Amino acid sequence: MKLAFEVNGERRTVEVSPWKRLLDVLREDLRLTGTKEGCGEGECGACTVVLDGEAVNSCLVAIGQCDGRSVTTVEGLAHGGVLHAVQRALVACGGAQCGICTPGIAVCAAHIIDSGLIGGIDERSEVSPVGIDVTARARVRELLAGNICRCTGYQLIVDAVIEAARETERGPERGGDQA
Amino acid sequence: MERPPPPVAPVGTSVPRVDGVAKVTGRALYLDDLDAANAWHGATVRSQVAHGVLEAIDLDPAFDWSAVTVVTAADIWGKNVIALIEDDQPALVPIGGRVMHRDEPLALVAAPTRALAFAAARAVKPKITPLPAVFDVDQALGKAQLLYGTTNVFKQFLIRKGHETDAELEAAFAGAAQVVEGSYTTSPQEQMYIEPQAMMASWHGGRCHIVGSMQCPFYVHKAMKALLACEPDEVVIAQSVTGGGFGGKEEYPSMIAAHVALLAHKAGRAVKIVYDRDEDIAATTKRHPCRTAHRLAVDAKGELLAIDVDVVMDGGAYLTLSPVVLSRGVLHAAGPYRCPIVRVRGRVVATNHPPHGAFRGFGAPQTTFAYERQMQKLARLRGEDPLALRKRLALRSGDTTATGQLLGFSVGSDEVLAAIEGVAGTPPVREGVNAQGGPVRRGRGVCFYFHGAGFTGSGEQRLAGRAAVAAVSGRFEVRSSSSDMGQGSITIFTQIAAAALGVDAAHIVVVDPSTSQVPDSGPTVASRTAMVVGGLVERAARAVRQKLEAWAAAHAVGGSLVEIARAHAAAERAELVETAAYEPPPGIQWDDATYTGSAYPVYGWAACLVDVEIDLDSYEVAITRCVQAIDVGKALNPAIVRGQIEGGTLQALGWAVLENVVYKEGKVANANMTNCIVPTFADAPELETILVEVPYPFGPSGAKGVGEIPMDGPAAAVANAVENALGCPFDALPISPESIARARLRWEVS
Amino acid sequence: MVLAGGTDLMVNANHRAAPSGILDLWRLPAIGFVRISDDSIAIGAGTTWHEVERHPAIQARMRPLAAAAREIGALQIQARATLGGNVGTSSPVGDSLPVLLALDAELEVASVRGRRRVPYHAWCTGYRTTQLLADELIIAAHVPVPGPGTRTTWRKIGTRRAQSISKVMGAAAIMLDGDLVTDARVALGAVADRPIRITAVEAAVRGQRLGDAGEAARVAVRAAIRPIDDVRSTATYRREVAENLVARFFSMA
Repeated sequence: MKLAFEVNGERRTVEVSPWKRLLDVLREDLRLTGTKEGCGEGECGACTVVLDGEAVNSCLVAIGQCDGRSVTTVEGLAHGGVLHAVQRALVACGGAQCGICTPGIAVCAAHIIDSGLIGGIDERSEVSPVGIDVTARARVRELLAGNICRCTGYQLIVDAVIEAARETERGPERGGDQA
Repeated sequence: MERPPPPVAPVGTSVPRVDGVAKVTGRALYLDDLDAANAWHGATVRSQVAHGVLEAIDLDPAFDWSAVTVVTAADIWGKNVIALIEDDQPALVPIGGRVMHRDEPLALVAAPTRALAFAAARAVKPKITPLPAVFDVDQALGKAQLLYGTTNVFKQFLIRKGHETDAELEAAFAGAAQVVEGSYTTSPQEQMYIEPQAMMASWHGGRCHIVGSMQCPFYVHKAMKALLACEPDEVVIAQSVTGGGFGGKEEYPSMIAAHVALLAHKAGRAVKIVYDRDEDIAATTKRHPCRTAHRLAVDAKGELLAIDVDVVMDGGAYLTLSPVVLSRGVLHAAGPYRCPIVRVRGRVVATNHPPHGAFRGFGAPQTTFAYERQMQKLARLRGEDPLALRKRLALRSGDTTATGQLLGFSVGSDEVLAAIEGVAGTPPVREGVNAQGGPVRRGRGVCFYFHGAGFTGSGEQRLAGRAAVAAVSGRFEVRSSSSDMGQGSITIFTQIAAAALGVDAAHIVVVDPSTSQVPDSGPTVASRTAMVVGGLVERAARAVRQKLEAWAAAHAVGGSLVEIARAHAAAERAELVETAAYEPPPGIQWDDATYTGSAYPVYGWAACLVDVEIDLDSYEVAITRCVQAIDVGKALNPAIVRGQIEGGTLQALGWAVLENVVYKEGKVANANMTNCIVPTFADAPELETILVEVPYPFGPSGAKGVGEIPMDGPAAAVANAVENALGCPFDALPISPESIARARLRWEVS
Repeated sequence: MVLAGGTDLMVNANHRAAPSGILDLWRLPAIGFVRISDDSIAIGAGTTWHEVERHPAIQARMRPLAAAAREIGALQIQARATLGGNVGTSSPVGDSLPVLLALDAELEVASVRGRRRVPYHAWCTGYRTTQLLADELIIAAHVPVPGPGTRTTWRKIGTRRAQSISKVMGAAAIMLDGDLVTDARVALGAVADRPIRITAVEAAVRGQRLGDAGEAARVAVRAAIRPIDDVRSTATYRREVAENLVARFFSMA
């Protein structure tokens, strides 16, 4: 099946079985190996990409469903040679150790920051319908719970995401690491 | 000559990781990201029987084999073993050979696509005559079946301190004011590195190149020399960027290396094997399950009179690393406490489980769980504050350990206990309600523990590790076999070398470990990388600096060291390489026969505090607070050290309440990430880390090992907290909601 | 194969042969809607759990459904998993299913032969089997808005705090006149081969004061369910926690 879709702002075409996983099309056909496979069952989040504005597990998406759609991978987070705030923060805070989960986390964290899903950074205790403490750190933990990291214990990643969210709230700053 | 400017990455600062940008951009290349021209994919045919005789391997005639390469043991021209401590584990079970565990490799296939390789593997039909299998250590000790030698015991130890006969030991117990006794069991644990195991091999002109996800290139190298019956320079092992290891990639990569090497040789092209997650969980090594019986005796004043420990571990089907895991387990079994009489017995036993192997802590978490549960019970029995008890009985400089080691420098016991006490604050009130108004019980637990850094006894001398630093055209290369698997060794070595050379970190390159490019620094295990290999890097770097400065003086060359190095390279047209070889610190005396003396050159020290909240409707344990105070000697890079501590801590908390490997008839029944769970962001508490520094004079800038220690203690602190919340003991891991529910009738009524 | 979000059907897809045909329903407008009326909310089968969780009317008027949506897997799953998928797969541990039972939802299905409605309490006929005929598609769930005197509640006990499979879960709608229970719908998941209404509980609590209803409910649950041991949990645990959950629904109502 011939398919055309947008990847990181660029139109790409492939001819593959519609059943092939989006993850495999990205890694094998498009040679974008930044997105990783950790489990093949949507448990670990290492394969996270943004598809039509939603963070999803690309191991669970059939490429046949991607015709005409728009995908952002880790390779597309930086713009004009400047890393996304969350990428810079992960480096600065030490939030990446072995790094295999990092692309998925960077994509998901960038998504939750850019879509405003975290909510107010300094908002205090509001208890959700299921009793989740929604201070910003707790909210970040809940939103990223689909990304498993085995190296960090999560602490420095949460630090990095909060820092990046604060920076994004403040507005764009000059400078930043080159991609 | 001018003074060089201070280095930009001085030791002791949290400089960002050298490989950080590559990792956050997805540009770091892990094995499955690597392409080799026309590489095929391999798959492994595995036993569905736990114990039996392999009679035949048939190929389904209905399958099209024309595009598939098949490899069996018959294709092995060298020694059919994965050489490690003993040569008991085959790379592939031969026809007529014994199958020893479920999912044991029997045959291999390679094909142009993964899908075809999986299909081909399913079309290979092994025929196995089953034998009775043994999954229980007591049945194995009772010799229900002979799986190893004549006793099924892979290794045993006996340590005696302060007595010579069992009768003397019993007399000490008989004369005690109080005795505390318990039996503690810990569960197998899956490392769950997020990058599954993966290797690729290719042959060129009779030379085999293997690249992959691994911790110990020279372990793989040693194993391949035996399997391929080749000279050392005929096989090259290189580490690709490795997505986590935690011990799980210490020895298992040798098995996969063997498989890709054989497939690539027969197929005449590069072959890559990348394990599926389910396969990785089912077939690779786990933390040794362990049962520890622990007795301690105290006098009327509460001083320890005697400790008696009996450790039994399930080693699985082959010896692999079990003797060393048991060794560390028994050497830590008496704990960081002063005690004149100690007996420790240990046995690791063969069963038909898949072989158990290395996982952070390596035997110490298992025996630490036992001794810290015992100390909690002692404190409760005596009505003594648990931290006060630890302070009273803790080993300090001038005390001797269970093996008779006189502790000298770098003993941070007081400091870590004081640090925990300093932040503890008011313990939670036992009875409470949660945010939804449901009833909960809360409790606090503490523990105190230690971890020997580096290889045991004379191990480091036997390893004789080396590292080199080379000045190459104005750039300085660090050459060691240490593998960065996330713990940050590349960055740490960069900082150490930059500081020793007095140059900016930008001029340092830590070369990728390949056995043809770097000396054997020893394996990346045992909390030795910064302390031992970092020390070698420092010495080699200093030697390079000395040589260059001497050359500069002799040739009247001025400028910075980088400029001198460039001038040297241009003039001499050669690189300047200095290699440092391991030199033991003075006073390390160890007797392997009696297991007495200085077991480790130095210990890390730690104390942990955990608060739990138990939901009385669901019996779920929430960890609401976790503090670790750890003496690391010197934090070479505090952010990296914190990251190590936090990662190890969460692995321990997961082991305590969430994680388990469930065996059914010797097969892992929960072999997928859905059912073999590890903590998520939402399960992890906000982790508090207190770095304590009591420098070790023989470590670079005073550093000693930190990689494993955070794993050893927290599970005991959790169990202690749960006991304090509910009023009854929990002596088996995991402390699952099911186990809490089962104990409900024994909870203390408030 | 009828495919929408794929969070169930695509697991280990690289190990399975491509289906002979795929009917892709992802983002089909005819099933992607949330329609509010005075007394019910119609949720299209193609609505994702993320959309359910964020919908202000669902949050306000049927909170347990939003709460369940928030605990299905994690963010990436909620972005793709659909109500129609949960209902069609009909797993015994489907997270939204006890809520649909407790809220007494009605399913709308369609074929070339026309449309029909099936009360959700009659939908599940066995282990992963439903009333859906081979030529039918699920169109929507019609969920009545609970009346003013009705307290609704829900709880999932998973294997961990997020991205987890249920070990036990329950949902209830409790109709009150002051502190008198006039009626109740109580549903449990993960304790049978399908999500179930515990009619024995409902009978036991009718006419009871809230203070007594909890214990009456507990006793009824104990006799009514036969959960199993599996790799995630035990029958004993499931039974005991199910009792606790249901009793708590009443004591906290």
